[in-house]
Amino acid sequence: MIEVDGLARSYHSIEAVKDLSFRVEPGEVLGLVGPNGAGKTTTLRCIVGIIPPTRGDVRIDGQSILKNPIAAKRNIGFMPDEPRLFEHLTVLEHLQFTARVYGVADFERKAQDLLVELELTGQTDSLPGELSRGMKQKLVIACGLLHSPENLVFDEPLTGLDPLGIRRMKQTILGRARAGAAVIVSSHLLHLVEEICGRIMILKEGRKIFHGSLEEISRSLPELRGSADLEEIFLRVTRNPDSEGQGK
Amino acid sequence: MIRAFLFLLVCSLRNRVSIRLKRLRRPQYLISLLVGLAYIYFVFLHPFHWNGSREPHTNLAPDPNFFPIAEPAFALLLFGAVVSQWLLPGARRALFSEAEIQMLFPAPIPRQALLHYHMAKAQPGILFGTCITTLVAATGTLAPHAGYFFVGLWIVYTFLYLCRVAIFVARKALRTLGLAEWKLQAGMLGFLFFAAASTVVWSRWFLPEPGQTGVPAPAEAIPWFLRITGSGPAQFLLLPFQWMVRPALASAPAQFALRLLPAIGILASVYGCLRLSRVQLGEMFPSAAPAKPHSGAKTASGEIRRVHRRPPFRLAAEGAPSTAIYWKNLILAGRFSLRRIIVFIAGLFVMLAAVKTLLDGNASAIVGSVAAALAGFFILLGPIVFREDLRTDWKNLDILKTYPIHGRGIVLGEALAPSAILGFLECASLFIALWLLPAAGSIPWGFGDRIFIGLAAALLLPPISLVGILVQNATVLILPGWVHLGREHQQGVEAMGQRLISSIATALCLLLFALPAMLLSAALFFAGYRAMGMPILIPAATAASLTLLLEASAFILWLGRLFDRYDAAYEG
Repeated sequence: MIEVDGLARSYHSIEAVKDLSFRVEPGEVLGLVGPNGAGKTTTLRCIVGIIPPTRGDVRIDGQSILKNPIAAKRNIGFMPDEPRLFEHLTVLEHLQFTARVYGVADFERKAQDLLVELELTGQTDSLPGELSRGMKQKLVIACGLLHSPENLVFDEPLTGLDPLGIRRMKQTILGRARAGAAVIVSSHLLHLVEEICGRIMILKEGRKIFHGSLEEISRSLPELRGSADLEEIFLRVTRNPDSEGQGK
Repeated sequence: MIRAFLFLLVCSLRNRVSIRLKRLRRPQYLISLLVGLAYIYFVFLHPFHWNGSREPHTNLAPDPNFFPIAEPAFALLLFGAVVSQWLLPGARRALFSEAEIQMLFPAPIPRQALLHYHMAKAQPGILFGTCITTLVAATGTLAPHAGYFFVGLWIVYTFLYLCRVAIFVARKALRTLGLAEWKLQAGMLGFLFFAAASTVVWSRWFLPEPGQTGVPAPAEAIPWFLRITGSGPAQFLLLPFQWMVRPALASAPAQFALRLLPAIGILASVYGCLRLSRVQLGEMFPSAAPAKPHSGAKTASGEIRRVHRRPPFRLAAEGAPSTAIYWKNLILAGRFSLRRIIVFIAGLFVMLAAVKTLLDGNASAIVGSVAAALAGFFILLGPIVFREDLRTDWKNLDILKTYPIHGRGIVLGEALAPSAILGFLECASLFIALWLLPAAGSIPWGFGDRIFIGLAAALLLPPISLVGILVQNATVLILPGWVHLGREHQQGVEAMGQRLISSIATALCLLLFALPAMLLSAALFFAGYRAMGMPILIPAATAASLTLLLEASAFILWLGRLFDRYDAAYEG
């Protein structure tokens, strides 16, 4: 379970995330959406312990990322939007390295399963420079899933994937959630979020403006009469009033 | 087209300068700039001596004894620089940036225009390098005339730049013909071996040898060097390079003009070859490629991908996680597998035995002196040069921060690989020096003494390397702006200041760390030397080594805490 409590993060004088609280239960997939600069990536980076929050706390399965970071990080997997890999390590060596870092006991079997699941079996000896963008993304995801974390954070997981890869990735995310993982997916692909996420959180200027299921959000906007899709909701709630005025 | 390229170059330069100026708002960059400027002023431009007297600062007069040796020595250096461009991995890198390849190559731009753009882009760097070298040389004994030296050096640097492009083009052409990477390397090494062997044979048969015992005195060594480089195969090999360096060493206008002609001729011929060549200037390696059946396989275009090399050792899935970082950094540093190390040591033994038995005392002394100098270089500058640690891993800070490893584990893992490599190289160099150097002065240098000195060094050098590397990593965590992070090379006056501060800080910290160890080992040595003789070196070195390791452990704990608290949002 991921619990975010009063999270705030500033960069110098700019407050990127303001007093954000939510929780993701086991088996739940939370979609994090918002316009550029809404604070999605900052939120994710705080959750996985890359940057410390200015205020508030994040707990992973009850372990505070601030007070007990090692225990918290052991049970979370982060898949960033930009695949950053070690340039002279092969695909298999990346997995070996990750296994040692997380202390994965039955590494060979898990690595083999992941290579098959993510269609990387023919690439085990390839260096990152020899992989396409999509393959690199798959390798990052394989590294993130290797230690079977019960909490998963995906930042734009479909970038660079081919249609088959996209389908498999959706299956992977849903499969992990069905197995009991708490999942956060941040994406601009609203149809993906709508398809796989049970609950959705919309951020704007660092604040949570909606949080709930699509029906709940839709119901809270009576002018949409409960029939709108996520794209329509998103455009309506994130539209800048100034630009709307200019448009009119 | 020229206007478009000019726009690109001017805008890029303007924005680069603007970023540098904005960076000065941060105190560490401003201080670095001031130190860099002060360094240039006091060392190169200050009209007064350091002691404060108001006597005019007289440049060291050019040494007339230096000039006969300068020409072949610089030619040899230039030859080495050109050859290294072929042998080192830098020559395999793309000439253009990824952005340039993406934006310029699909555009309807002729190859020659791209070549000219590349040449123009290189000029600010060449001019900056020329200015700095002229400033350094003009205060010393190297430059007979600063103006000619500046122009001559610009020609040399431009020649080196054109050679890099030409080598890239030649490699690419040869590889397109199906020649494997190792064949290209082996060809160059074979050529070098042939050149060296023919020079040795020539000098043995036709040239009188200097004194047979001891290190050759400069009076004997310089004429010997001049005879070797001025006759036979070496003369032919170095001739074009001598033509290139001659204008920089000219002292009169007529001499300069006469020397300029052949140099310009060579420059023009390299440029002409590049212009006439049809080889595309894009990347040597494909940035992305489909599945690879096995290492060293060819792509459809005939190019060969990076060869996958064996990891240094088998990494078990369970155990200390810092070992994983050590393992990764050893791979990144060039894969120091156990098999390679054994082959290296065996080769070294054979080579040294050959030098010791087949060649005369002079050759042994020269090789030994070079090895001793190398050991000194590794000890003093190794921690700055070997940087497969937090300095290069900083771009992966986001990933490192997500790992369930304490900061101390990350710092230890990061520092281990360069320390191990450095320690190994230092010990190897010292071993060669101790084997080959002849006895000198009052030091007995018997076989037993050398063994004890070697063992003491083997005990002391690895912890010293570890401390040196930790100091560099501390700079990354405390003042990331003062150390060059990642692989990208920083240029500019403030970068020079940063490097200067970093070097001074490293030396001071090393001294500070080494002081307790030095005092302890000195006390042990002087107390026990009368009773034990040279074997006392071993306990003294052990005590010093343990002290250093203790200090290093405390340092790692502190750096680990810094890493844990580090906010990646600002510097990552």
